[in-house]
Amino acid sequence: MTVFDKTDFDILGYLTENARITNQEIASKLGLAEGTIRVRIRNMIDDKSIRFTAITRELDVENPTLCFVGLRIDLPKLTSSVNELAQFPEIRFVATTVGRYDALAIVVVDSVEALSKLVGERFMSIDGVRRTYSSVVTKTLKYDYRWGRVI
Amino acid sequence: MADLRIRLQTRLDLFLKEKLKSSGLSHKSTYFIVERGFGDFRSGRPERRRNRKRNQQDETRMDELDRHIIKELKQDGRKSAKAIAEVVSVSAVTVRARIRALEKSGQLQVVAVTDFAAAGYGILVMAGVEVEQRHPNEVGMELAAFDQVLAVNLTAGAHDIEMLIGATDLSSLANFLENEVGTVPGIGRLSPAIALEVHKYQSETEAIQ
Repeated sequence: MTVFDKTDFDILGYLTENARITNQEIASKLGLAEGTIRVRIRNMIDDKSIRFTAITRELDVENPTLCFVGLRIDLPKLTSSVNELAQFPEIRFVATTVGRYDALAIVVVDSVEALSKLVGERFMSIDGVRRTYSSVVTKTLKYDYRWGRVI
Repeated sequence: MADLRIRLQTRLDLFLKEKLKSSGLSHKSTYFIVERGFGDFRSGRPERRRNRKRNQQDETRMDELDRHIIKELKQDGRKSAKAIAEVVSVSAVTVRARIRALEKSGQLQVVAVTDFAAAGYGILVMAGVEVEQRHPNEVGMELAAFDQVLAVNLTAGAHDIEMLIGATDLSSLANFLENEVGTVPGIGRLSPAIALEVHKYQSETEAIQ
């Protein structure tokens, strides 16, 4: 994991806003060589400290419904169950957790019926999944795209 | 490490504040990063928004080529126009023009996402909140104002609010819960789940508003 220094933060400041900025543009703004910018960005990518992605208003799902699904899973089957869950295209986020659930997933579906089918049939058919707890998001108040998990 | 993270946060927040001011959105909170990204698009009366044109086409309509380009950018936001052009079978000039148009109409933003750990958040907590004797929206807005609260959603289900908290370590988490979250009136019960291992993370879900 990179320990960012001031130059890294300066570079990130530009990239967080607009990742399409060229290395040359960043270099001239910071008064550094283009090669320095290129090498630093390469290092940050290589050790998975940053990634570049596109954020859009339009999702690949119509009438998207965002849902939180907590799962209780037989602990010896936790990793295999969660790896299976991660394969579902409807699941946008999944993590094993300690606390109120054994795993927590964030899913995007196009209807409440689709949620029922996904959770009730497909999640429940995964070996190890014992019970699910679903909540439907009614309003998003905050989402900070600047931080995420680079996998 | 914590200092560095705070420096990055401060630097970015200053940057965002300036942007907000110049886009006339300064009355909205700095914390609603999503609003900033798409502020130009959302602000203004619907009739005016409708009248803005992109290539004689309704700006809210993306075509197949746009979607194809975006798909490539989601995988690697810094993929060159030339490399994208090869995949989508058009010229690099067209790819650049499409990206510019999508950015200009507020439908696309290509960004760097910093890993939680690299940003200094060693611990991620997904906390469900049961709200008592207060509107969950008000409680959620107050929670959203904390830097360490990375996401806030109102939900219908077992909890009224689902939020994501980032902390450097357990003692800073304890301090945050006690001295910051604890001061927000209306929080009846907090049910946390600490993330052990994140198996999947796609960051485009913020498009849902």
